[in-house]
Amino acid sequence: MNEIIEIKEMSFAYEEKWVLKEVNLAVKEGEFLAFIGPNGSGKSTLFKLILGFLKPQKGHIRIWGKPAEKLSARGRVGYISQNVRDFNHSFPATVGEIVGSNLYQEMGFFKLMTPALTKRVNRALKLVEMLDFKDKPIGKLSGGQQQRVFIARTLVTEPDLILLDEPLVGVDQEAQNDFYRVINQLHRELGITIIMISHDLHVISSQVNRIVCFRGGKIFPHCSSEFDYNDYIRQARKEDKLLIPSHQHEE
Amino acid sequence: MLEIFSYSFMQRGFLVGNVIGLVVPLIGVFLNLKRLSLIGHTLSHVALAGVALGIFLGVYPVSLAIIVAVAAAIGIENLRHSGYRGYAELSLAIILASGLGLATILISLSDSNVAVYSYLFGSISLVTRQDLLLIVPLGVVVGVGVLIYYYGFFSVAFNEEEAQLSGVPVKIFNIIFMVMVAVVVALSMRIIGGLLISSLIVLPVAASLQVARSFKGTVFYSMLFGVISVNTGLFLSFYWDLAPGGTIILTSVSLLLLTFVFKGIKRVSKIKELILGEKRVGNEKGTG
Ligand SMILES: Nc1ncnc2c1ncn2[C@@H]1O[C@H](COP(=O)(O)OP(=O)(O)OP(=O)(O)O)[C@@H](O)[C@H]1O
Ligand SMILES: [Mg+2]
Repeated sequence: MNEIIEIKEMSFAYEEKWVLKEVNLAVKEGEFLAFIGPNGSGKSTLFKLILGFLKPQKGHIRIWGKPAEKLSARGRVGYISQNVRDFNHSFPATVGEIVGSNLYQEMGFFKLMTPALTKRVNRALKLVEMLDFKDKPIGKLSGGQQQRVFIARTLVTEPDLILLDEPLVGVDQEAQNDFYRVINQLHRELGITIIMISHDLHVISSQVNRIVCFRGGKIFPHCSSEFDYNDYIRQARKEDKLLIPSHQHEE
Repeated sequence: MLEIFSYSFMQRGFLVGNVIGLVVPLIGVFLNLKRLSLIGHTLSHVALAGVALGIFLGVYPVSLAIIVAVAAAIGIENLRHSGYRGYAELSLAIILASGLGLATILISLSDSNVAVYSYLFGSISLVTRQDLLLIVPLGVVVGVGVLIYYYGFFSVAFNEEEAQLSGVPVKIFNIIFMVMVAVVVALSMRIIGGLLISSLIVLPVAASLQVARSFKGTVFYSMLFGVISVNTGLFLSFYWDLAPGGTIILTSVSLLLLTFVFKGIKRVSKIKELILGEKRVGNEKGTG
């Protein structure tokens, strides 16, 4: 199988403190991966590096064989950020408009929504069972419903790789089950590669092919679904503190 | 023909007014949703300094207003994305104060008070051919540009990071947008007046947000309310001999109040329906 992402000896620091140190990781086409680790261990940062929003100081990240920051085929990667639901809830956009706006690159010179593109929006909304909400204002939906809309928004470009940063925070049990059902469908039927960040080791480990643990700015090799998660987090916190001796500020 | 249109200055006034009435609220939608309406306010004061400088130097004031406002807009945009992000509001206050201070001093130095007054509060009778030839083409370019790249501006306003992932060149969009705000603000000085422009940026959009149910609707109603305000304002100001800027703004305030009333009535009738158990509203959605 082909490698989609290849990370070699990659280090990254926001200012003077290292967040990730000499990380190595390879992600193969069609994998479903989970990233776990304590708060501040660099999971979201690695997503932003993969997306090319940030640039590593050392080593490299390749995605489809090209440096991540040069990623031109934007539509091939879908991303749901950790704070995707912190938008201005009085923003007057409908579900359909939010999903459709992700097709910007395919709108041609005059940036029009063609019937073909509208069809794709409908298909994406149908996949997450939100088609009935197409004309509803996004701010008036429940958190779980908004989450599904944002999934539809990433699906509409028909990506080959999807990065999900803690998509299930504040989502109820039933909606979580629905979510995993949709994600598994994407993974199994469409062969989409998925990486998901989660703090819920027990649930996520039953869903994914592989777990990647973050600890002390590195990827911890002895990581499985069976080990003592609480103890792991405690140890990992200690190591993170060693890595970041000075002030630890919020995002 | 109505008497009002038999004067060539009124024809010019209406032409310029309608371009402004369409473009200012259009820009205003994005500015308000990005929560940056203070920038419009700041730029209008900076543009005022440009006008005062023009009058003082004897140069065409609108062109100087554009240059000064565009320079300030690019500066503000850079500040917004620099390390001093947290001080953005403070820096706006500083720029606004400097602009107004400078304008006041320059005004006191020049002796053409009538001209200054017309730029502060707007004027129809003073709209010249030169104004027309500058304002109409520039206004059309801005309007058409925003409407074509509508989805790009929409994405950037909603979430910059996601917009970037969708392939929207966010940085370029932000700079172009700021330049457009500056140009539009400077152009509106002539007819609305420097002190009142920021109201035309905010009021039609606020009214539109009361009635619109989508982003497209928000843009449409904002522009509609803008045009209604300008035309009503110009008519009233002509027949009652009032300052056009003030009349336009008061019209848009009335429109905003009307949308509140409209919304209140809708809510009351909805509650009534709930209580009476009528189910007519439930089926309005259709098949989708
Ligand atoms: N924009 C930023 N500027 C400076 N430091 C940052 C920035 N974003 C994150 N950091 C720091 O980098 C470290 C890693 O943050 P990151 O968001 O990647 O953690 P995370 O693993 O996603 O944590 P969580 O589980 O809380 O989401 C933290 O110490 C954080 O304070
Ligand atoms: Mg995170």
